[in-house]
Amino acid sequence: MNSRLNFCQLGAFFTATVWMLVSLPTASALAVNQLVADESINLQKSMTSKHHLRNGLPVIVRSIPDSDIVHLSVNFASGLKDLPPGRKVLNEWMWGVMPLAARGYPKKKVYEISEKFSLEMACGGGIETSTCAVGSLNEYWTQTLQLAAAVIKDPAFTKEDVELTRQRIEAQLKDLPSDPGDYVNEVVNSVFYPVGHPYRLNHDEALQELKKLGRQDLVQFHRSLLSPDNMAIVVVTSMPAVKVVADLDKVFGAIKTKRVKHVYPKMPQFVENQAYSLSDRELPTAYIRIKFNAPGIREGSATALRLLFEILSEELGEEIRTKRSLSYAVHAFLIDYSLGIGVINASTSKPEETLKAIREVVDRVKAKDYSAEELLEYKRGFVTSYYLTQETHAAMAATLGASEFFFGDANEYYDMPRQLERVTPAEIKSLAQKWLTNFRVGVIAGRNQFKDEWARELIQSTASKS
Amino acid sequence: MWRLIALLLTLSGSQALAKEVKSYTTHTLSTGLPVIGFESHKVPLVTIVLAAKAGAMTESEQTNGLTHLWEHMFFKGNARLPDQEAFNKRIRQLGISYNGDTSAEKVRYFITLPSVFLEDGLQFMADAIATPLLEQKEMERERRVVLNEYERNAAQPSFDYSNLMRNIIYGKLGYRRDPLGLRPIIANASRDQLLAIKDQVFVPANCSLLVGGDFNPDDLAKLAEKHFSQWKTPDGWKPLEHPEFQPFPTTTSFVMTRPIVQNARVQFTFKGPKVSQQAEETYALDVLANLLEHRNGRFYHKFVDSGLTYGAGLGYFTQAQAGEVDFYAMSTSSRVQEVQKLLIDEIKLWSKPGYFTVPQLNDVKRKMTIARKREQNAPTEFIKELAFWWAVTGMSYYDGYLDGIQKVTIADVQRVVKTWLEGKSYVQGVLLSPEDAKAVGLQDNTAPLAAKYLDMYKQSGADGA
Repeated sequence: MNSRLNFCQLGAFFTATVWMLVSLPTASALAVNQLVADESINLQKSMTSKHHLRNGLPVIVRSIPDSDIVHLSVNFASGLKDLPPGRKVLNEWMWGVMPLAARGYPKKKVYEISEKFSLEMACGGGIETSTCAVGSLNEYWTQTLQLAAAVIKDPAFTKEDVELTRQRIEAQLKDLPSDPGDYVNEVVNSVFYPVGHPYRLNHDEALQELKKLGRQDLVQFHRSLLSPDNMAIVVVTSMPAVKVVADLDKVFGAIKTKRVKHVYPKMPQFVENQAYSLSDRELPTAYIRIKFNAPGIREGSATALRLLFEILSEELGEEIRTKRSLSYAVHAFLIDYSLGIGVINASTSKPEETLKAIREVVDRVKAKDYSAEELLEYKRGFVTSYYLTQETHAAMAATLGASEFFFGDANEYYDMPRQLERVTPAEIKSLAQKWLTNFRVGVIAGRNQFKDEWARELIQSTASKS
Repeated sequence: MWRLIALLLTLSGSQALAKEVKSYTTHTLSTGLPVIGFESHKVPLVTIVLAAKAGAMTESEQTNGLTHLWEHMFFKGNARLPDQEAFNKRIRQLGISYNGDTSAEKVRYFITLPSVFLEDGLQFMADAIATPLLEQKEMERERRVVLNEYERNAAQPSFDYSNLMRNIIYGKLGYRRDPLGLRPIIANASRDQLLAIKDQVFVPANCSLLVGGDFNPDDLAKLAEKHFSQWKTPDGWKPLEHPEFQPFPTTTSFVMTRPIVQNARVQFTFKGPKVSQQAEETYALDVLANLLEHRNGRFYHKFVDSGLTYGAGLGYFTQAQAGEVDFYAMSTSSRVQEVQKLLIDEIKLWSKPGYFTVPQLNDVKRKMTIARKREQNAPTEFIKELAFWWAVTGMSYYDGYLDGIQKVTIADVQRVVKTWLEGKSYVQGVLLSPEDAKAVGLQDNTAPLAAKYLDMYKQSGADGA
């Protein structure tokens, strides 16, 4: 049997699964055109509770019954964008030093506890948010929480650790150009973000910053973030929420509120004659990365835009990889922060043909009237990725943390299938025409292998006329 | 008949960590195809994996790289989905996320999809493995994609370095450890070659079906029988034999320079045990690798926490037909010679009393036990892990692994150091930039080796790719 399953069959299954998981008394039928049953979404919501510590710090507890794994994620609504030029490298540096030692926890003790209880603790600064997260087992919760709280509230920033981390970051930054797959991002960023843009991080600039900054800058940066209204905690566990929140309140409930400065970035301006950069390097294959502006995650069109990028990626793959065999790796994706960023990637030994093919695909997507049935097929792919983001404790914590930060409501993520169901073909076409424009192009290729006009033609063809 | 295998998680000492006992199930279809299931109802998804005991190790000098090309062709047309358009449409209809990988000793094809489509997914995989069209026209297209993949690898500064290291160790049979193969072989591959590979390795007697996620084991057995019974092992099929590799070479060192490299890499590769012959040794080597990562251990303190290197450690990759132990570090080029000397001298200390302690050993055992718990927390990935173990070691090794780890003593660790590392021959490579090499008085000395070990990778493929 190879017949296509319709919505109802899909939905009926999800309903049944939900029933299996929590023994819901009834499994109602799926409404027409639903990708995921109401019960499934309601179940997710019922297993997620939001609380506040005495200082107002929000806590989301997601219950995963019958698992002895716990994941704690302490999120900060600050990131690279909030640091001024000249201090951007602090974002990586400070979060890198933080988990190494804290008041009452010299490094040797941190190591001892981490090894004894097999704690996986890591802190990292992102573009818009930052996180300290630790995975452990429920039975080690007390030790895990005490160590995490010490590291987050009172990191030691010892001279030795500050210097050690500085050296490691310096090595990483110097090594960045070695991998063309990574470095091509920096090549396109050089023409996408103007100097001073909140999202901009350039490895040469960061190397210079490393020389000028020191321990006091790290201490100051850390102090500037620690405020309950700049934080959100997510715990994914089978432990009762009441206990989790009470424990968190003991260690994080006394953090005092202070004013945290935030920067609100604007879309980078498109300047046609500054929209292309080539890094001259003889390689067996050229690396191409294209970036362009898109609406931010809080915009009403965000879900439709994600679907557009799913379609664009599929169409690029079908045309450039499957039909023309021009590239092993070609795809499109959306980076959805407060600002959206559209990305197209390709590596190819035939860059001229590939850039032309990208142009043709983009033109086709802008012009095409997708049928409701076609759109439905693309939407189905989302069901798989939607659940994949909920598979592990860590993925769930990251998803809920982002939802809380961007929407002030962790449940917003669960409702994504409902928003997706409402996306229409007309909306896809309209978004494609509006946003698949003003491409900035970064290329790594030998000067003898690549002609500038190949990139410029693509830029010109996508330049917005308005 | 289903067999329930309990993966008992045990700990050293009195700690009872094993609250949650996880299990996988096994079943054998009438065609001899093993079916392994790992149930997890966390999310309504299933991942279906087809694994084969195949890869570079089952290729000849004339077919090196074609198992990888076959992997690409798996996701092309078959009897039910005759062309790429139909195939891609089906993928979208079922919400399938898919991929495959080919290495020296295993091939895996895998899809993840909503579990309501379990039966459709099984049929999809059965059709792909049993009735591939392997059309010449599709192959012409796909090999250009594979050649593009090849070029991506060749663009990495470590491409020549890895090839040289491998070919010094394995000599003429180096291709049997290299799933990527050579450009001209890929460029000139014929349909007949792929069909021959199908009958050699992609048969039920050499493969397994693994399903992880949200499914009912009883249903799985029936559905697998229903859809995979058409796929049969040819009469008289026998597993391919594996020729013995050359003896491990005497100590050899090389310095390779590549312009774009920024930090220096130092690597000593020693002969290691084959899991097919010396399984007991592998437990102690894995424990040794973890002891070196222990953050309160002497090695970590001296080489990592001191800032001497940006990362250093020992890697033992479990394989059935070959064994290698890699001891490596990344450092600034200015310290590369110091690091080289300190690394090789350090090995002599590992068998001395007090270098590794019993509390550290217990920490490592606990960590490795909890690591398995974490693996099982991601069923989509875990079922692929099981596929690796099935193909490379067999499941009995996997089942006994944690027990094997628990039995390792400090004396065992010291013994494997003496057996495999201390005073043994090795192949040593250093990779850095020409400028840095000059600054520290090193010279690229790979030219004499290139003709024998590297020039074949420069031959072009189709379209001058």
